[in-house]
Amino acid sequence: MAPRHRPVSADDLQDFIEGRLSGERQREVEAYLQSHPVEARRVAALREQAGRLRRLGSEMLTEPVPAQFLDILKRLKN
Amino acid sequence: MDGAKDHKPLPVQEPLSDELHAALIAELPHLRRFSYFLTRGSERADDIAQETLVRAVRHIAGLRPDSNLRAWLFTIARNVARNEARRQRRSPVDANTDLADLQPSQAQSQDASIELREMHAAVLRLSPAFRQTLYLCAIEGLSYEDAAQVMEVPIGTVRSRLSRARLALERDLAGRSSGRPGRKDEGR
Repeated sequence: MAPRHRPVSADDLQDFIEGRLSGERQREVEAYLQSHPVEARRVAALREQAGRLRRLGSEMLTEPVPAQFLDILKRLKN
Repeated sequence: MDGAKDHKPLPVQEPLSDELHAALIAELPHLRRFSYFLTRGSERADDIAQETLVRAVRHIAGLRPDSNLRAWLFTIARNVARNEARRQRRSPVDANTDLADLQPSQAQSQDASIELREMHAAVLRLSPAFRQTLYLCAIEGLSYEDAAQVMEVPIGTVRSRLSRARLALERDLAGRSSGRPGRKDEGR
């Protein structure tokens, strides 16, 4: 019995990769991918890349901000 | 930034309110990180981020109450980088650097795993349009709308660049891990 849901578009797959789908739509896309293994592999690789990029980004955010930036704000605030 | 005249300015300018001051401080790591990718890891990155901050505070009245502070700062940063490049008569983001030698700065990556370092270097090898789009959407997590505003392109262009940037990144990393030279640049 095929699940009844809206057809999955290229935009849906992109938003799934980007983690930008609503919970319900996300589950529909997951169900679709279960029956489309070739697409599922491609999407999984890009989701993995998305995760690595986010980790890279978080790591870079931990670097302390040089004092000059705060000086600028202090100077311009008054 | 001049189209905001019909919007009531934030009730907080002149001097900079504590609230806005705190909001700007919270944005600094993001602004520096954007500037880093914008300039492709150049040592000018912090200069551009600082100039952006100065301009942002001067033009804070142009910030609409409903706009995203981060996207607004990034838009200014792109203008600053573009103006600087024009002044220096070189391409905005990518002059004077040999692609093959390009490595993330140590400060940015000393704690990173090899996997993340490779990813970092691969992002820096992307074309400016791909790199910035990937940064805004995939690393910063801006909405497509905000990314489109920063990049000054339609939303459809953001989506298509994002998708192509991800593929270019995969190809680059796959090419390197299998010993073949990765494609330097998939951008147009």
